[in-house]
Amino acid sequence: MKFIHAADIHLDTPLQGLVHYAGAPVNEIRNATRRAFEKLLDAALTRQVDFVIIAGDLYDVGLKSFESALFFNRQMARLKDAGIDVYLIHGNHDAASKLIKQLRPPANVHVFRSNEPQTFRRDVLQLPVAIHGQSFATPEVTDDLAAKYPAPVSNAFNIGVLHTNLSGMSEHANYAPCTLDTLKNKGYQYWALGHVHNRQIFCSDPYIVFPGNIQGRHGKEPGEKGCELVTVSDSGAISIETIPTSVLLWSEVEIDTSDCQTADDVYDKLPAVFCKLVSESHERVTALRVRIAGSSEAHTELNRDPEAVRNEVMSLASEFGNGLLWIERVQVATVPRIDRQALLTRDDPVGEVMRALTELRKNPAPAADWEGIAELKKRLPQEGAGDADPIVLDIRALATAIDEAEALLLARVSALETA
Amino acid sequence: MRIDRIDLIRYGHFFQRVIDIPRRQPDFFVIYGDNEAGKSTLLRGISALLFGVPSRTPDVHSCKGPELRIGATISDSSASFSFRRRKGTTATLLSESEAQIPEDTLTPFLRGLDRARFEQFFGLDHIRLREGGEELLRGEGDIGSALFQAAGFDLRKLLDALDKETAELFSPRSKSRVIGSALEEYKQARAQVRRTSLSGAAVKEKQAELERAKASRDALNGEADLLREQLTKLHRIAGNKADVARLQELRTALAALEWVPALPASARRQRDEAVADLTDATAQIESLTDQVAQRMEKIKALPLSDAFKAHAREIEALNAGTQDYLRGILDLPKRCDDRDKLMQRADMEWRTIWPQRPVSDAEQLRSAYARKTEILALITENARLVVALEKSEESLRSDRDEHDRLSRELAASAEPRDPATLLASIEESKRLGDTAEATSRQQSECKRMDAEIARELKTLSLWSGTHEDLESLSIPMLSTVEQYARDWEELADRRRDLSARESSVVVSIREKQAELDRLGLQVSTAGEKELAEARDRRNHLWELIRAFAFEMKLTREAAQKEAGSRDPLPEVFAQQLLRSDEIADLRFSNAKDVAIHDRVVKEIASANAEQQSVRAEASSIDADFNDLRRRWRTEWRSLAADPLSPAEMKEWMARRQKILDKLEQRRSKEKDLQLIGERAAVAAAGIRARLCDIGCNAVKETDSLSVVQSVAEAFAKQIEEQRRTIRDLRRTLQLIDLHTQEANVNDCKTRLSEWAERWSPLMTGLLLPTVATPERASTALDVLEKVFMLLEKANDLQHRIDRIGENISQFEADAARLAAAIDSSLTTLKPQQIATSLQERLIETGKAETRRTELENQNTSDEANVASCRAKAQAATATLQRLMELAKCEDNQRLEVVIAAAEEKAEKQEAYNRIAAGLVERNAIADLQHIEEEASAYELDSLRNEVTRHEERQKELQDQAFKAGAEYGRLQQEYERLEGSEDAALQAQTAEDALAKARPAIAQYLRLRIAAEVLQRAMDSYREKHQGPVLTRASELFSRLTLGEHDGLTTTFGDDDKPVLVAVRKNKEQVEVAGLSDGARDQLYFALRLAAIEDHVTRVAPCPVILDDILIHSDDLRATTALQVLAEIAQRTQVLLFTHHSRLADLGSKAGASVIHLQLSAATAVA
Repeated sequence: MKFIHAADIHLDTPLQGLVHYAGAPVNEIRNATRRAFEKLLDAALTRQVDFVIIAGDLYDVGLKSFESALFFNRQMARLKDAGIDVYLIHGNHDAASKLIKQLRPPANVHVFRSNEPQTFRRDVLQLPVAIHGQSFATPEVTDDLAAKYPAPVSNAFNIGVLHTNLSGMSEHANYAPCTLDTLKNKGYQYWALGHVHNRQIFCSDPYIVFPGNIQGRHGKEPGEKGCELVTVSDSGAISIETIPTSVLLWSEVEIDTSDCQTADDVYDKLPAVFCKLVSESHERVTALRVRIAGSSEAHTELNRDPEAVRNEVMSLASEFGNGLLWIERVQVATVPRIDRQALLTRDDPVGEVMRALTELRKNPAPAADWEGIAELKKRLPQEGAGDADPIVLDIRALATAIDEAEALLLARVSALETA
Repeated sequence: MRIDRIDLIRYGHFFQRVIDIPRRQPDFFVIYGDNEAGKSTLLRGISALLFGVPSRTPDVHSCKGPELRIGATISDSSASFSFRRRKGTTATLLSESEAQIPEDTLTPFLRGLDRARFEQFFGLDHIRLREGGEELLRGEGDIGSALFQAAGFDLRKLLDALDKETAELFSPRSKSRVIGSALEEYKQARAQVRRTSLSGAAVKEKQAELERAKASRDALNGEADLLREQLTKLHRIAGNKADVARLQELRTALAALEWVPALPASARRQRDEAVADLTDATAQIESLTDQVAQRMEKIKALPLSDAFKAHAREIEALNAGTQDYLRGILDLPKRCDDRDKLMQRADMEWRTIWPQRPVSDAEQLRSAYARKTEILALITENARLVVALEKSEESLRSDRDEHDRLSRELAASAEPRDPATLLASIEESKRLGDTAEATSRQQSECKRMDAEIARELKTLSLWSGTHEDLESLSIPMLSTVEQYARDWEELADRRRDLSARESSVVVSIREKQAELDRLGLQVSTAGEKELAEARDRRNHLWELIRAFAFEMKLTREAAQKEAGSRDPLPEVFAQQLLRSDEIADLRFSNAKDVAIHDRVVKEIASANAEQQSVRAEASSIDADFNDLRRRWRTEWRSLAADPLSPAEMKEWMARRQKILDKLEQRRSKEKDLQLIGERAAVAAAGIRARLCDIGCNAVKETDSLSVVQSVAEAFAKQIEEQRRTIRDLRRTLQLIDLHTQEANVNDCKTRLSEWAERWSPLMTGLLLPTVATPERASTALDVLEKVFMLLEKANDLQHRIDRIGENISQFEADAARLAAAIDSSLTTLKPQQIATSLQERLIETGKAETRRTELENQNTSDEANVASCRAKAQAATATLQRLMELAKCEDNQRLEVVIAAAEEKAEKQEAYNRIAAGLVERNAIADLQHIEEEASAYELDSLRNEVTRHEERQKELQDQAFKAGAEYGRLQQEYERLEGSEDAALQAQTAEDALAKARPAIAQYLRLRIAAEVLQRAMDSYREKHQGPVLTRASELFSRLTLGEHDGLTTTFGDDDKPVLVAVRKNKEQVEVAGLSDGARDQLYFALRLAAIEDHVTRVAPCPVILDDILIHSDDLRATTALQVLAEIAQRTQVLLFTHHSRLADLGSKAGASVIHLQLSAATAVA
């Protein structure tokens, strides 16, 4: 018996943080979540799986257009033609979305009810299978749903499908929390989990698996994404294979500048890094966050105009990226080779600047009311834009900007001093 | 930086003019010249020199732009630099030889100064003084900013750049900037998402519509299918009618042919083929037999030979070798000649080395030549050893000479004493710092303070004595003065109040009098007083009349006399009665005016009374004031002059105290000076003692510490130099190692003798003398190499000659042998002719052989054909026999009849079967009988009518079904489009892209905005902290420049809450700059500049101050003060003052300036 376990499809959610610029591979990643979902179904068809499990968050909460549901139904029809059933639960995002509830899925799609746990039996297989699950009724389910899942069906392969924040993983919303022991003690052979976007296998007896999402949507979801192809032998032995589905890979590289004298020295390091990434991407686009770090002589030049650095990096990516590199962000985080204490005690404008920055750093809040910043804050969109780095001018953003402003000021003042 | 010389090569009116500005103290020069002498040109020229010639300059009128040149020599404490400047946009800085030099060469001298800063502070004419001053006050180039620039760079420019960058990213009032535009894009994309989103209801409606269309299409298709089935059946029956009739006909015909025996279907073909085969085989056998006989005859006639066949290969080989044979005969003599020449050349070469031996001996030298590498290595080694020997010998010789020289030099040098104690003394004395400079500075300070004290004393009113007298002057206590001041002020206030009251009363009387006047003459004569007087007069006259007429107390005459009128008393009474009635009437008719008049009159009377009272009070106060003054003067009797008011005297006391404070400071500085002098003397004495200790008496008791220090340093340096020289000599002597050098020479010689031992046997092997030189051996090896090469070539040629001879002999032998073996008649021919003849005859014999083979093969084939024909004839006969047996007949003709009948029967049976099968197949019914019955059931005409009716209905249904199908297809396509639609998703991506675009821009905006704000705040803070000293200094200077008319400057806040500068008058009144006179405003601007210049000089570096006639509006006293201030500044930096007023030149000279006369046509000279 073979089945695919996927989760957190977030169909039709946009990719976040990709600034279009000349040379960026825009067309290659058009509607990446759809393309990734198609790859998942291609795998189901070519590998001739018996069924597919989607452990929640098929859609995103922000989506309101039924075109996503129609697309899903059409894809499900492909599986139906091949006799492949789909078992699906609603996660926190789906429960908030009206898409599934209002549009009836094809007959081969089995949606678990939300008021209580439900079990689907597949006795026609050589190895009988019982699939247990429960959908989220509301976006914020804080009960331990797993605790109420039924006892395993004897002489069958029991699969638990659950959208959960297992053991309260801190970076994710704490929905349907449960503990590892609860799952282990349930007596199922495989737990098909969803909600956590990074692939994680917590246990192999029984298997407790988060497959992660099928397409990273922003810089905080780096690396290869995909679904799990689970093969169960007649004796019940389980093997797991990850099937990559990413259309676009998110990645971050750190360039160490400690041996660099000038910005050009830093730029000289990039072509090799870019070529390596391209060769490892298997012809897929990589959205790259370049972090330039370390303490070096090049600090002043790099921080004098971070925009110029960004443009140079993008230009190199266009030249050496073979059309497969998209620079998502360039972060100049180099550390100056300066004696901050000495600067603070200087009786000159630089000293005044450093003292003013030190004061501001202790309490950045008033900066939010400065002319320009206050108006900008009002102009920022109020509606949510996904779960990655919303544009908010809070204390944290101001503190970061203060650090960057210090680097920029020191760099430019230094340039004036040495002019 | 200072300017040492200006070269006006071609600039403005100037041509080849040089202005030398020698170093002086103070570094203060007045450049004096008439109007149009070029002072303003010179000021522009200096600016152009330092910062480039502006593209639009008025100074190109006497030369073309590219020819314009101005040069200078500038210097600072460590370097001097001469250069020129040309007009242009790039690379305008030139050396004195007109070579381009980098612009940044000037940077160390300018120390961050740019043109704007220079022209605002250092290169001033009257216009710039005013305009720049106003800028300073507006805050555009405020002092704080100036201070920032004085720190070496201009943070305001950086701030402007940051502001500009932030403005490009975001502006609250614009949507077109980067961030605004991205956020707008986001907003629009979100709106587009909402517009393009599909609703659930719309999708469901579309699904229902699709279902309806599908049902409609399916119903129509169902009916059409049913109709199509019926129509098919009718068509089928109609199609069967003809075949069913034909089937019945065939069935009858077959019954009539039942007698015919069954023959194979190919019976006719078998019979025809057997007859034809029999006839053909018989004819062929006859023809082939004749042809075989003819070919046998032809074979007998062919020319065949076995001898040629046996020698065929040899003949062909002989023929192939003919060309080589002929070429060999021709080449042989030439090759022999070449070989002989090579042998001769080898012999010649050989004899250059070995003349007594034949060249054939060369072979003996093969083994010796094989050791060529060894010999060449020995030659190289020999050369190296010889060179090493020569070098070693030369080195030994040189070292011996050097050793001798150094030994002599060392013997001649005496060891000087250790200068450590001297250096320690110098070092200790240096800890005192530059005492001469400190002394000079203190003296200068004392001098300045003396001048200030003198000036203060001079300007101190009521005093003409010395400062000592001033110091010892007995004056009242401050509290006493203040008590006097209070009393004085109180009396003055009271007196002022009284004066004010009196003035007020006088004014009031004047006003009331005027009001009285306005009431008119009429009313004025009908006052209460006038009425009372008229009535009193009337009553008096009546009393007189009553006294003489009724009471008889008086006589008529006495009454008439007392009435005081010539007119008779009754008439006078009547007139007076009339008069009083008239006044009363007048008052009645003008009652209002009369009331006012009466009131005013009373008020005037009251005011007059008050005036009298005030005057009395004033007299009393004046008496008190006089008493106070008297007592006040008593308090100040030691002053020997009438004191001013207590308030003024308080001010006077403050000024006195200021002078006394300065005197105290002066004394303190004097003490410092003395202390410095004492310490310097002690230090100098110490150094002198150390110098004496080590034998130097070059300093005098009277020499200053700096002189002693420099002499001592020079001496210590000299001693150190001597000691170092001796140390170097000893170290060098130790380093010279003569023994090693001698050992090297001997070693080289030993290795050369070892070399000779290895060399001799090799020379013997080469048949050369054992002592042959490496050069000779090398030549011998070269010759031997050539000889061997020539001999090898000759040998090769000999081999070739031998091979050619062998080939010729072999060819001739082969030709003769073949001729004898094949045809002896050929032996008389030349070998090449034999070969040709034999070849031709061999070819002819070969052709005959080929022909015979062909003929024999044809015969064999024909014989086989004959056998085949005979077999064929036999088979045909057998076939005919078998067919006749089947047809049950005896001959061929009967056979033909039976075959024809059998064929007809088979043909009809086949037709029957075909039609029956066709019916079964077409109708898909196995039962043929059922088909025939069906066909019989319908008449043809009624069948056709029914088909027509069904076809019409079918057409209608097809049209309807097509339309329903098209509609369904359209709806399905729409639905599929919806299924594939991703508009909303793509718009959501567009919105996200817009946010992504905004994100880095916002980050950049934040960091820029914060940087700009922090910088602005830092600048404000810095200004607040550091503007103070500059402002204080400017305040002092302003007070001096205005000769004390103003106390100084201070800051207050303007209407916009920004700090503004105001002047403080002597009476403490604050005056805004706009309220100052032109002259005072100039002095204010000048004071601000001078303070900023001093600050720059202190913080950064000296820089020339060039002033073009800025004192033209000052009187002599103010100009003198300004020149003194400039002279003080010139102690620290160069000051050049341009003027065309001889008066100013004279005053400048008195203030310590050197005067340079600037004339267009004459040389300049320093006065």
